[in-house]
Amino acid sequence: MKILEKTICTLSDIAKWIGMAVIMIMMLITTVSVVFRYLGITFIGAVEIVQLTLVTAIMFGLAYTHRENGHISIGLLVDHFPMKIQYVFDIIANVLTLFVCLLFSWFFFQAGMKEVTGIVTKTDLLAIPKYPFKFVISIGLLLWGLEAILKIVVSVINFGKNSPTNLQASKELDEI
Amino acid sequence: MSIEMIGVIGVLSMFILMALRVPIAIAMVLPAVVGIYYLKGGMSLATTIESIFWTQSTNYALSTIPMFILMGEFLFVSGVTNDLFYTFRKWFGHLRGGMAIATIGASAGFAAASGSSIATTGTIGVITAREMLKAGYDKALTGGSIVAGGTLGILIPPSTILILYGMLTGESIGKLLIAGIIPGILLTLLFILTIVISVALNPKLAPKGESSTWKERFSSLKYTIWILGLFIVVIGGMYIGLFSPTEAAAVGAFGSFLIAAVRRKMSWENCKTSLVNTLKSTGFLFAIVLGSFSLNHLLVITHLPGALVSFITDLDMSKWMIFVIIIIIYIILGAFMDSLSMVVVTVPILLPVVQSLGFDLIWFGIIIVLVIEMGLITPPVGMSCFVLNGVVKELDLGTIFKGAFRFLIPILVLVALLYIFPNIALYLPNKMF
Repeated sequence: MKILEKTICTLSDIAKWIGMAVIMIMMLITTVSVVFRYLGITFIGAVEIVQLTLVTAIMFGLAYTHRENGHISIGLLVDHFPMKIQYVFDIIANVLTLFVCLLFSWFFFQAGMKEVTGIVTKTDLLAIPKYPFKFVISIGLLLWGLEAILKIVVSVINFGKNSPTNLQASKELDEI
Repeated sequence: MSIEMIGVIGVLSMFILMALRVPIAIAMVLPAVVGIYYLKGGMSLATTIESIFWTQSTNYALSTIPMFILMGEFLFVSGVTNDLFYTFRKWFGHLRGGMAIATIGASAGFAAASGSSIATTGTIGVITAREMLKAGYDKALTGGSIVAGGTLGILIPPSTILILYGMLTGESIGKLLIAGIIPGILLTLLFILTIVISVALNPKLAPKGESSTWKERFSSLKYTIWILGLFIVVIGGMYIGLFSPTEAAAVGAFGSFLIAAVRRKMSWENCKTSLVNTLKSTGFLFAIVLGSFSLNHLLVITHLPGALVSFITDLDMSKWMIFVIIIIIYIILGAFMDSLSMVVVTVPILLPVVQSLGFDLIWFGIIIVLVIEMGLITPPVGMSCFVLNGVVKELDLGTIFKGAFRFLIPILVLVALLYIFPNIALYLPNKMF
């Protein structure tokens, strides 16, 4: 179990660092393209690079956001239930998240594979193939799903022990 | 079962899932998945999801959101926020309620660099709350003025909510952001007026503070130069057509990075924190955006918005009455939903209705933001109040909500003013280059 947790956390961390880097790149590329424009230099493909960095930042941010409980949910009703019942709702919410993530990840894996084995679509100016970024979406969603699995495990453990639900996955899993 | 009924079931399922603490993004996606699969089959579902996710995740205009978030994060670590409060305090601190006024002023200043009410409330709350309590300010007035000031975050540009609204309605993001300037300034003044009237009626709410010399006051203005300069470059540049909104946001983020560097606050740790926070905000915001677009697709194929327009047209009510009903719907929803989900859920449904009534969509965007602001400071959800309670434990939730109540009046006054004089919001966008 520890290995599973460590693997998921490492993968999410790698995604997080890539996400952080591309946000910085997005800022620099856009700023440089503005400066270049006023210097009379054309920065060909700046928009395309920003588009591809945006999709990378979004998809690689999803899993980390889930780990940090950053995805907004409304606890108005469930927060008033006994803790055991709350764990059950947490498990349901994470199972649904897992289902959506795996389904969509599969959609994008197929879409990427379709291009790898067929016609490769490319961006208009820089002719960058789009399929690697379809795999990025697939990986990002898969990682989000994996983080949901960790949360399910934590909720199941908490359900058995009646301990606080907001404990970090690592602390709980260490005890397994 | 009629096709519209499938849309209705989809929307109801979304609300049920939200109530069960399912993440909002998933609560929106799931009914869409089931509905599209039921109506069009598995192949169509895969193609639709692929198309929505790819189109929106690579939407150049949407890179405005992470860039503006990054700008706010860099400015926060640069420490200019503390200086803003100091400046406003020098100017207004001697008045009765002067620190509350300074809080509103500092919030408006921070709002010019941040697109989030939550960030504005949290940041300003930490700086001002204890100072006000130490000076003997009434707890309700303290909490109320901080959360009210925080609401300016989503009205004064940049505003995440307005960017999302622009994306959902297809309106110009630049014009929407510019449209928030005059209402933002007006609301700041109305909040200040509320404080002045409150302390005039009940002087016990706030004591007078120390007076500053004119030299000190003018000297303190130097601290506002950073934010003022950045605001002029970013928003001014967008207004006169130097940059697109995306470029303005990136230049703003770069500018705030430089400000933090010049002020020797851009350590590796601060840079990392800013980027991580931006990534996290980007993650949850876009998850909701993608969920919203998936649900919207279901609504479109079930013809639900069109059916709603026919229903409202058949009611044979005046435009004014329908406007009031829409506002009431938002106020009720605001009691249960957070601001972001409220916009992404309701705008696509109400958009055809608003268009059929002939309302200007930029003007309506500002109205929506104002009504959402009310939701941010009213129970039971009142997100800004929870944030303040989280960062300043001395202020309990009940007191904050009580204090925030009086600030609902200026917001309602501004909504009424905007209905009577739409140019308050539309004058600047109409003059844009």
